[in-house]
Amino acid sequence: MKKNAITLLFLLLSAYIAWHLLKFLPNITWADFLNFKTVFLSIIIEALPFLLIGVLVSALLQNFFSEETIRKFLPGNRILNILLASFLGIIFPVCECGIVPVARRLVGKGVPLYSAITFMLAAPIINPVVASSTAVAFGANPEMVWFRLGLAFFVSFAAGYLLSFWFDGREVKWGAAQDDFGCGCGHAHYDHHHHLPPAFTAKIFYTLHSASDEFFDMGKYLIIGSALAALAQTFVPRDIILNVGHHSLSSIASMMTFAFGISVCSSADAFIAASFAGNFTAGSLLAFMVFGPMIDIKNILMMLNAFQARFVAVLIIIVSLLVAVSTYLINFAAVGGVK
Amino acid sequence: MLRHVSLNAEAFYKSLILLGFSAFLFLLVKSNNIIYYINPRFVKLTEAAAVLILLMFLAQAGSSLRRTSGAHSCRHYGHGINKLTFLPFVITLLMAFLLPNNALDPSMADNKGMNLGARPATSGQYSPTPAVQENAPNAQTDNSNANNQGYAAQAQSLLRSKIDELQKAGLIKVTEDNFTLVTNEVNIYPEQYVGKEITMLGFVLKEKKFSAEQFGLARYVITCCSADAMPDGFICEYKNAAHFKEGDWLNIRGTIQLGKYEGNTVPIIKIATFSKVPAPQNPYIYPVYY
Repeated sequence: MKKNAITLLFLLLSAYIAWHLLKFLPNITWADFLNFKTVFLSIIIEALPFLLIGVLVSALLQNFFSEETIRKFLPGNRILNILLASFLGIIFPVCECGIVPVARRLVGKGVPLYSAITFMLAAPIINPVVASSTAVAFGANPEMVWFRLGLAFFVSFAAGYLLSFWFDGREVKWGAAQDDFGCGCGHAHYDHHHHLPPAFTAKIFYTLHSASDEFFDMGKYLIIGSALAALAQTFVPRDIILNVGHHSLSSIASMMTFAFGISVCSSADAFIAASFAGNFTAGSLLAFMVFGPMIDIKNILMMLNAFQARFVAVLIIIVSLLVAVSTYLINFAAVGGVK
Repeated sequence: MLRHVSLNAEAFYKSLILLGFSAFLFLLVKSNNIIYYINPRFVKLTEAAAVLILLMFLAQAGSSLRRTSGAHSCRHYGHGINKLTFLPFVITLLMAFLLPNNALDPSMADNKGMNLGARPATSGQYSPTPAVQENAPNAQTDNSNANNQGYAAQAQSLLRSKIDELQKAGLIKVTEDNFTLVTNEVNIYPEQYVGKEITMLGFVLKEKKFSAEQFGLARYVITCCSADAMPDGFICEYKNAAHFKEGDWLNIRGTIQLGKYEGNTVPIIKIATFSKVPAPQNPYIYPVYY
């Protein structure tokens, strides 16, 4: 039922976009189409290794780590739990293309939902790769790095903490990546039928198998998301959303929309943000660099596949509000400062 | 028994698609067409992905051939596989194999918004000179005290020597290796480079805000993949600029002068000579961090 509803939503969204594109149709040339295809494939080629890392980590967690092992590492205290989750990206850098399956698998392995979500929001930003690329992009203005990391920490921590009061972990959907894996139901092979633990090679086989099942489960949303982002890049002139740079609140809103629409990898987005530095408020650049890696077209689709729509909606609202309000305050406080 | 067949079919379809993706990535790397899509520094990752997908193909192919036992029915209760879920993958593969590999067309630069004209030191990706010094009269000497935030000391001195070289040179030759260094340096500190000669290859960009004699000469800079391509370059002036079509590739030689664009002081290249050339083999610039 829900699955059909989501498919319908995609169809409606695509139809809506197609309808808008029809107006441009006489102007769409073969070159435009090839540009679309180049951007579309380039996002997929760039994201594939990271999605694969994500599904592989998820499959390794599934096949090699028991719930008890993972529980041993978790602090019992909720705040400590969320704190740990927000800094996990430092030793475990997963980019946003691959983070959703890992977060879902962590929940399946007994990690509290709010910690998994905090990890999902924080890891794509609070990690060494992104920190150094931001430092290079904002070479002359290094405090932007600390603002970005600090803000990402604040937003993911606060979002996780708020969610911990409202949701208890039943909001996870499994889809094709059912708890039982292997060849459709791997567990059944060794847990129920043979009482011996599976051999190492068999575990490797199950891992690859569950990784590829989850690859198909998540990959289609990556593809649809990349297609939408490529459409936006090819056919929507940036001026439409970016004509409001100096206005504090509207610059933040437009930069968040922009980040959502172009779905660029979190290790590259700092360079795009830096190219707008002359015309946009510092707060809006931070909003772009904090909101984009947390929520964009392609990972929203993957989230909808992994979590209930209601939960995803609440998450998006919380993150948007946190980012908008805090960057607005930064703009307010740092008039003539950061900028 | 039908459901067992459908399980095999699912694994079979999946293995075919995985094989397709793996082959696509391998061929792309082998033919070097991958440079049209991503920054070459990520090619190793793409190769690793191709190998991993091949392994996943083997796992899926193995289970599509495997005889199904009764235990398998636990997941596929009743409804068979939804073939629609493979549609995105199939379409992607069709586009990948049937359409020609090509670089981004210059026409898209309009949508991207060109990184032309005045840029504040905030966006100085390579220039470590603090913003305060920009307006200092003795900026040139101050440059040597540049801060080292974000750079290792050694890389810092390399960058320093590259910039010194640039400032001493009478003729700045823009190459693929120093492209972003030059565009950043000259766009941020134009007054230090006034009067210098410059040679550069790029494509013609027209914007409504340009005067009839002006055009942009740019190349796409790719940090990760062509989704983050930013056109970067200089504003140029030539009396017959109207003859250039957007997307023409030009090899130019000219002199750096100061001009106004949207109220900011920007460097403008006065074209002395130019020649129309075909697009280079690899039209993109991949930024190098010193």
